[in-house]
Amino acid sequence: MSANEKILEVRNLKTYFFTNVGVVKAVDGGTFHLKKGQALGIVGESGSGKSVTSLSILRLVPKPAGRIVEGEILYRGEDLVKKSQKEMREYRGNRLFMISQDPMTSLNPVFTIGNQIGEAIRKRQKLNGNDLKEKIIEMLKLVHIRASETRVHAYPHQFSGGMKQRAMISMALACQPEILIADEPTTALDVTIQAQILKLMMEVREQYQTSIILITHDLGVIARFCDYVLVMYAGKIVERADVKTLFKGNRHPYTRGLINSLPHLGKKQRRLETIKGQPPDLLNLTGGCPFEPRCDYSVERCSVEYPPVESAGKGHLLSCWRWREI
Amino acid sequence: MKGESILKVNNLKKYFSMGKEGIFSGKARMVKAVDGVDFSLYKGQTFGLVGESGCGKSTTGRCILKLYGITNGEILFQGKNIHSFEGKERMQYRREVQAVFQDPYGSLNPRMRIGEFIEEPMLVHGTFNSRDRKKRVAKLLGVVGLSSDHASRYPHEFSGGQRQRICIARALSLNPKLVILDEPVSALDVSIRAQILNLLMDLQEEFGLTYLFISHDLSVVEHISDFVAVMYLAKIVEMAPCDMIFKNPLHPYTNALLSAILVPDPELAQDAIILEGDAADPRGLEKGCRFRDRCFNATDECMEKEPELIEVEPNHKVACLRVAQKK
Repeated sequence: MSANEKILEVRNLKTYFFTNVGVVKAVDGGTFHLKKGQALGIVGESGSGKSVTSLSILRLVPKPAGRIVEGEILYRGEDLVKKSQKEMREYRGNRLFMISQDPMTSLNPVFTIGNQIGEAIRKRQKLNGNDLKEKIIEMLKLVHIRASETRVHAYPHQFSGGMKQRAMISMALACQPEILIADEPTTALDVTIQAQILKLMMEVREQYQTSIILITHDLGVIARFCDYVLVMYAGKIVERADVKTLFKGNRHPYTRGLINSLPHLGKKQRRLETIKGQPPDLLNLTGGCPFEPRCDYSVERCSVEYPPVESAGKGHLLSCWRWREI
Repeated sequence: MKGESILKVNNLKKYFSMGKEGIFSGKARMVKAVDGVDFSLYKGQTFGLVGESGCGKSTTGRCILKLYGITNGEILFQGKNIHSFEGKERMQYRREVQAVFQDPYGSLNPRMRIGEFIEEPMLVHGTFNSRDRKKRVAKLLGVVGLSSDHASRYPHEFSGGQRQRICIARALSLNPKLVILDEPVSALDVSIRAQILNLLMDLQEEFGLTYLFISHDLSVVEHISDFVAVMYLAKIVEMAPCDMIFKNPLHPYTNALLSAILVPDPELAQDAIILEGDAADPRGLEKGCRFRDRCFNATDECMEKEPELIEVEPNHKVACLRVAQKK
């Protein structure tokens, strides 16, 4: 198994939602891949399609409105889009594991934490009785939950937000998936707890060579955690690059605007730079670049034709008509 | 830098009852949400109140808004105790202190047009006649960067950032002196957040507003505040002018908070101080420092003695035994 092996390849993914008022192109032509042990960040604002991308990979797009209309999701060469839901159950949990923003939605409130972690362990190992209980306690210790012997019997509501997220990570550890998809794993948590959870995820990644897809709107999290980043806007991947290039050598006006609009610690500035206007309405997109109405660099061509994906360096791809001038 | 004090909070305490300890026990269980907080707001300045969830920062804001009664202490607005206000004076106070909350979706009535929504406070307080009110609505919409023909629309037609602008317009409708901003940008997207922060700063300059800015996000607080207080479990642990607290944080909790901020710069290696555990339960604290269980500097003394908020440098107050000893 080489280190550069691509374990997930998404090609031209299109996930649309067919609603009463029209078609929402939530993900419109997503192409990217994930290598073994890589931490891939997907950043974007609400409605940019970052969560729908992850749900598409797990084939959990909400039905009946949502549908993957085109594209391939190749996991080790096998196309997940063609799998039946029954076959997909073998992949979820075992090979692909998802941690959501609100762990309460992923934990069952009527079962104890121990019970639910036990379920995850039994997917891989046939353990029973005391052996199982010991293993559960060991898993809780791995994610630094104190007094794990008694916490095994606790219910999810007795755990704080950070502890619930740790319980989810311990399940992920028990399943040892190849790909861990974390959708805003720390957004609902306090900063000091966020630091703990991110550290834990880094440990998991190093120890088990797990590939991670981290979805977030927080560029600080991206800078600390990811190797490679996709920037999404209105269903399109507008720029992708390794993390250093993205922060220092970005060429897309949206990426630049996003980075410049953050207040910087220690640099007291009077005004923040802003991106003018509002995020687009996905129901009323024209054929052109969706960022055009908010872009300072837009020319006539931008509103008619969507720019092709071009390379601006090794591994640095972007879609903008005027990137050379930016 | 101080200027005229507009609001003064003295030893504010707010306890919430959690029911009786036992069926036959007469003792009530209390959650101490705010437990002895002192600070002053100065005219035209922004006071940032930072802390993690459950530390009592929002409760403090709500006490000032008189949404909660208080358990102990006093809040003085321009020298007068706000809880002694009756009748006219109380209406006056309600006019002069306004609020903007975190969730712009929850703050708007979905069945009310935006124009009516902004007009409502003026109607309640009877401050303008009908024609002036309509004019003022149009003007306020302009001030917050919307157009006057938005007045006949309903909230669902607006995005999150626009809704927050509407809430700000309503807060301004009565010409307030003090605005309590409770996490006003936390629910907004990054690109919109910068727009709203700029708007808030512009309005402050234009109308000479005083802000109490409540947030968990230190980088936002640093950007907007003149003076900052850090809260941990119902008490202020450190309070200083903005530059001072960010350049020279003294309390271990402030240090940890600052180091936990992720700077959007991949080349900057950061040594984060990672705190153990979660915030302690405010119910179980009888004696000692509140932060001792998570503190990397705690000694036996911290278990026993509760630190007071004392001035260790001019204008810089810290509640930590070990910092106080060093000075």
